[in-house]
Amino acid sequence: MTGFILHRYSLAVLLGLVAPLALAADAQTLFARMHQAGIGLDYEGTFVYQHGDRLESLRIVHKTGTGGVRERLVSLNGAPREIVRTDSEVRCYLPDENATLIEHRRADNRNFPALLPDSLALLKDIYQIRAGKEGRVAGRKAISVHIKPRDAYRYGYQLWVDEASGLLLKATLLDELGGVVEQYMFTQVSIGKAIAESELKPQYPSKGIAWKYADDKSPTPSTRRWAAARLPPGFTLSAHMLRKTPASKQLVEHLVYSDGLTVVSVFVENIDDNARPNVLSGLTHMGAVHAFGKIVDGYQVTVVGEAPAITVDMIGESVGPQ
Amino acid sequence: MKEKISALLDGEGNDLERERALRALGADPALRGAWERYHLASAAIRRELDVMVSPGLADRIHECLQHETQVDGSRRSLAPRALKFTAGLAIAASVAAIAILNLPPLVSPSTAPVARHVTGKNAVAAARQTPPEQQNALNQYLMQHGEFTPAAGMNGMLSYVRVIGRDSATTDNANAE
Repeated sequence: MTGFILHRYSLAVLLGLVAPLALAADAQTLFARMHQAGIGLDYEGTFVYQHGDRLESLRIVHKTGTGGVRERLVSLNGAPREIVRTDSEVRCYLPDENATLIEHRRADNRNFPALLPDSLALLKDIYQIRAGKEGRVAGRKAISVHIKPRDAYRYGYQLWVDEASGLLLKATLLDELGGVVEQYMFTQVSIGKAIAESELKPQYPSKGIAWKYADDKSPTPSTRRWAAARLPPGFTLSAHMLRKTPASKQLVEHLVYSDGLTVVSVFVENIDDNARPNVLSGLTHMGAVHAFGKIVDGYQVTVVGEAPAITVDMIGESVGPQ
Repeated sequence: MKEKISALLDGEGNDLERERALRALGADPALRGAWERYHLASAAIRRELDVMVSPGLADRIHECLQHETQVDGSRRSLAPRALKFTAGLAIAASVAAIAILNLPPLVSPSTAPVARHVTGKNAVAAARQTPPEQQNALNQYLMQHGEFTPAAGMNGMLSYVRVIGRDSATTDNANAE
């Protein structure tokens, strides 16, 4: 009896060693690996980003170390824009606009953005998740994860994960008809190779205005002043904070609504004292991002999210003072 | 039009072009002949002639569909039906063409005409493209929003791609000049 159990056990271990992903390719395992790989690996590569009828090419460098994770993202066509991100801040270099945006990260303390495997069980009520199809991306063996929403309030995702490392190699956002909203795909990637420090330095440092956001640990508001009255099924308030815009240093109330995978941000700011020429009004989209704007009682409400129009519209229309 | 049919076979073209090509196929027997010949040619290239259907199949199906519609007495339903059938062929053809290269299709074949999902709020689905000057204003919000999206946890900074990997239209135009 013991022998039998041992035999089965060792077989499982053996299979686990031979093909860790192909055989145990459940979504849970893949998500956990994908999450780990996204943080813990050193990699650099080139990927394409397609949205609507546009196609962009970008380069990414990702390095881990004692100082945490550092990343650099460079657009290879059009304006030479760059983003350098560390654990504590995001610097966005926009030479075409003669500007640098510096944003101190607020989410890290609560480890919010990580799509942890634990949350997968909750996701199953709203999304259908299938995994395990084999394919090839950027010359590497990949396993797919297909996340299909059960209603029209969120996009679906087709993800391809590197079999060897767990790194996400391709991601496609799908609308309710299965049409492609936008997608990213590595065309070349090298994983685990040493990355030189110089690779993480911005190539085009802007000489223009550096919009520095003061690192004041502004307290989370004790009483909520603004809220969305209507939310699509499954959405809840995930985070709520006061922050400052890098440009005007004005206080902005930031509310984050999420169903665990789809995230919609609501920003509310006072527009009494400064005229703003480009305030967003109504519903527009940039690729998969829908944006909504309106003015209520002298406050500008801006809603953005990688979500279908009906979701951003529903949340945006219902935002008001409490 | 034959070029468009060929593009259809290769799975190229946008939804509108595909729909036009499929409509033309439904209306023109000569085009249906061309459609079959293109299939024959591509099958020959792939040495798959044994699975080729007999000549005139598209015509016969078209006839059957027409007959069926006349019995129904509703001429309107002809187009969608014929469309659905030919769309099926188109999908099969493009999938086969892609299979040769063993490459993942950049544009999913499922973007072929499908019945529009009725949400009751379709008017909202037609949101206009964000004007460029507003896109710039939106950057700071997208950066702040970016740190909360799961994509950031999944693969570094995919969500930040939108801030820099968009709207290179002006530069593209400059390059073209």
